[in-house]
Amino acid sequence: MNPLCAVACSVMYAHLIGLRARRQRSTAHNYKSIMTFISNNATTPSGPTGRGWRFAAFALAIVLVLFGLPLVGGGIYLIILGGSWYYALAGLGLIVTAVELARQRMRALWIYLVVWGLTVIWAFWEVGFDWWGQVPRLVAPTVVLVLILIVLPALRRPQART
Amino acid sequence: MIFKPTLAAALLLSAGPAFAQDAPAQPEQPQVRPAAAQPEVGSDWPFYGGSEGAQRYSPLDQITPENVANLERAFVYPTRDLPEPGARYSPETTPLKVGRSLVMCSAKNILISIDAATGEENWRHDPGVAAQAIPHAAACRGVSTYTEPSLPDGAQCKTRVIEGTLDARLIAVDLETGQPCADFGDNGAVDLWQGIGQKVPGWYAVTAPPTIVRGIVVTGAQVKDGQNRDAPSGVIRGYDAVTGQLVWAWDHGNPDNSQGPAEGETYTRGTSNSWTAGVGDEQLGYVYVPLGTPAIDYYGTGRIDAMNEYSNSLVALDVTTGQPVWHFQATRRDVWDYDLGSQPTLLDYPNAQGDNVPAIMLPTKQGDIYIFDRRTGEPLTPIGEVEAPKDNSVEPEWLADTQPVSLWHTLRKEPKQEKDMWGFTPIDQMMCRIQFRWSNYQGYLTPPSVDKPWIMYPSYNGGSDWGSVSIDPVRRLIIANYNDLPNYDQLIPREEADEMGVKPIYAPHDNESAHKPAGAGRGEGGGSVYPQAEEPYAVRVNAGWRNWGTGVPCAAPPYGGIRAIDLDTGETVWDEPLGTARRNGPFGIKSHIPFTIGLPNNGGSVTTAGGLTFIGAATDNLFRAIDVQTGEVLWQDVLPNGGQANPISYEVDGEQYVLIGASGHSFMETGQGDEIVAYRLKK
Repeated sequence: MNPLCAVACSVMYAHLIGLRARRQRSTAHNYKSIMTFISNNATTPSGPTGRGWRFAAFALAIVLVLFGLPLVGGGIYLIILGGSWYYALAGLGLIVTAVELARQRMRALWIYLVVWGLTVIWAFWEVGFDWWGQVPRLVAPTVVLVLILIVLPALRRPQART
Repeated sequence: MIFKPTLAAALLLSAGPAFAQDAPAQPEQPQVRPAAAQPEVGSDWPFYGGSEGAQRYSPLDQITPENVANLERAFVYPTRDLPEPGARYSPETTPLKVGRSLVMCSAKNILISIDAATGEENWRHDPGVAAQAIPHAAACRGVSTYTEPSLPDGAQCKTRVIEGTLDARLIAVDLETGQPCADFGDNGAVDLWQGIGQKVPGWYAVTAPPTIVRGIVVTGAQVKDGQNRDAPSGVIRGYDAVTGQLVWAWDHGNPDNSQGPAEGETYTRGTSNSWTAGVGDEQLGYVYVPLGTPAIDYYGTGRIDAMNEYSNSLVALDVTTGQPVWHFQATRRDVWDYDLGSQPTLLDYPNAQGDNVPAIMLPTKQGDIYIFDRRTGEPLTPIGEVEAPKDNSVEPEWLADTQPVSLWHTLRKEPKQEKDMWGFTPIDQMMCRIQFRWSNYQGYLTPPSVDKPWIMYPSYNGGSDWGSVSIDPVRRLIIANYNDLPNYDQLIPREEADEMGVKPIYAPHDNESAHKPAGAGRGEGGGSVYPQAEEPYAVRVNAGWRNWGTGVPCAAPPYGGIRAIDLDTGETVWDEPLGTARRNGPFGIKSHIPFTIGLPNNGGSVTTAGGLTFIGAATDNLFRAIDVQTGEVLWQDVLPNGGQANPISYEVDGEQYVLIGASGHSFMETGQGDEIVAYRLKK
C-alpha cells in the first residue's frame, strides 16, 4: 500500500457512494459525471448564489448528516463499552459541518478542516504507516474534504451575508 | 492473558498408555512385512508430501530465481469432475508423479492417470460416489501407491493406487491400467462403514490420502463437525494393502475393538477423528496420526476420559499392531475446533546432545510448531505452559487449567486490540469496534461463551492447516504459510437453536431438493450454525468475522502470510503477507487492486533446490514463485480458479515441471472448476 493506493481507494470509494446513491446508473457514468462536475467548476465558475451550487451544498449536508448520525449514536455506545471516543466526536464534527454547509457558510470548511486534521493525527497515532489500516480512517474523511472543496462556490464568508 | 513459560518438556512427555496387550486370537492374521525401500522424490513425486517424510521439498534445480520469469504453461488438464448445481466442491487435488504419469483423484474420487509431460489422459476409474456423500464440500486431496514385492513383475496391481472416498470406501486400482485390483477387498473396494454404525451419507467421509507403511494402509476419516455426540467414530484402521483385509483398528475409546467391534456394536462413537494426511516411517514401522477435536467441538462436558487423553494429539502408532507408542496433546480439552490439520513432516534434528535423531515436526492451527524425537515423542524444541482463562465459560470446571505452547516458534500473532478493527469507512469500522468491545476476549484461549460472542483468534483455519509447511533441508529453512484471521462465535442455548430450526445432518430435511445434498447450506462459510444436537448449546460461527451487511472482515489485513523460519534456531528469516487485493472488495465487488494485502489461504507450498517456493493457496487465485532466501515474489500467473491445493514439482525428459490443482474452493469462495495446471520453462 502506498499513496497510489490512497488515490485508487478514493476513486473506489467515490464509486461506492455513487453505487449507493444511484444504483441504476453505471459506475463509469458516475465517475464521468463527477469528473465533469469538477472540470465545470474549474473552468466556468457560476455565481456563489447559483441555484445548482446551493443545491449541491445542501445535498452534501444531508449526506454528512446521514454519515454523522450513526457515528454519533454508535460512537456513544462504543464509549459506553469502553472504546474509542473518536467516532462520536467525528460524527459530531460532521453534523456541525453539515449544519454550516446547509447555511452555506464558509465556516463549514474551517470546521471540517479541523475535524479532518484531528482525524489524520488520530489515525497515525493509532496505526502509523499501516496503509491498509488507514483505509477506513483516512479515505472517507478525505473524500468528504474533497467534496466540501468542490462546493466551495456555494459558501459565503459571514460578512458577505450582510 | 498471563503467559507463564515454564520449560515443561518432561511434563509433556507421554509414553503410550498401558493398553491391554492380550488381543484375542487372530486367525488368518495377514503377514506383517519387513521395511521396504521407499521411492525417492526427485524426478518423481511419489508421496502426497513429496518424500516419504512429507517435506514438500523437490531436489530439482532447473527452475531458478534467474529464469523463473520464463515459466509457461505446459498444459491445463480438466478433470471433467464438476459440481452439479448447488453442490459444493473444494477439490484440493495434489497428484503423485510416478514414471511418466501423474495419478490423482478428482473432487468426487474419480481416479485419473495422465501423461506428466502433455496432460493426455491415460485412464480414469470412476468409483461412482453419490452426490449425497459430499460432506462440507467434495474434496480428495490425494492418493497413495503401494508396490507389493512378492507379486511378479507385470502382475496386475503389482503397483496399485489407493484412495479413500467420500462415501467411505478404500479403492485400489492398477497403476498402469486403472483396472480395479481384484485381490483387494470386494473387487478393488473395501467398505469403511463397517463397524461405524448408522450410515448417514456425508457424515463420514475420507478426504485425505491413506498412509501406507509396511504394506498396511492406514486411514481415518473426516466426520462432519458439530452434529451430535453420537457421531461416527474417529477409529484409525490399518488394512492389508494387497488383500484389503482389516489388520487392526485403533479405537481410543475402546482398545478391545482392535479387531473390529463385536456383532451389533460400533467403534466408540463421537471420538476424535483424523481427517488430514498422516505420515509414515517405514524403517521404524510407525505411522503418525494427527487427531482432531471430538464430534462436538465447542462443548466438552461429558466427553469420556479417553477422548480427554487423546483429542487433538499427534499419535505414533506401531503399524504392525495398531497400538499407540507415544502421543503429544497439542490442545487439552479442546473447545475451539483446533483440530490437528497439518500433515506432520519427518526430518533429522539434533537432540540435546547434538546428535541428529529421527524427528517429526508438527505445525498446529494455533500456529505453534513443535519438533519431537519420532521414536519416543521426546520434545526436541522447548515447550511451555500457559494458563487458560475460564471467565464467561459455560463449563469452567471442565476446562483445562493450562495449555502447551511452543517456545521455539509460533505463527500466531499478538492478540487483537480494538484498533485492529477494520472496514472501508469509519462507520463499518465503528461497528466492528463495538463488536470487539461487546465480545468476550482474553486472547487465543478464550473459552466459548453464551452471554456474548467470543473472539477465536487464530481461527479454526489456522495458523497452519492441511497445506502444512515445506522444508528446505539444504538451506535449513521451514517455509510456512498461515492464516491470520479471527472467528466471531457464540454459543446458542438449545431452546433458541431448536426454535431456529437448526437440524443435524441425520435429521430429515423437508425442503431440500436433490440439488442440495447434505453438506450444502449450513455448516461452513460466513455465518453458520452447528446444531450440536442434544447438547445444552448449539454454536454460531462467523468464520473470518465478516461484518454485518458489507461482508468486509472486521479485523484489519493481513489475513494470511508466508514465513521462512530458521530450522536450527526457530527464528523468523522473513515474513510476508500472502496475496493481493485483486479479487477482494466490499459487497463482494472485485476491486482489481494489485497491491499486496495478505489473504486467507488454504493449501501448502513446494520448495525446490533451485531456490524457489511455489504456492497458490491465497484467495487471489494467483500461483506464485517466491525467492526462498528473501520472500520476494519473482513470478506469478493468474489461475483459472483458486489454487487451494498443494503444488508439486517433477521432471520428465530432463525438464522440470511445477504443477498445481486450480479448481477453486467453495469455502474459500474462489470459484469452482476442474483445472490442473502444469508449468515448465520456455524452450
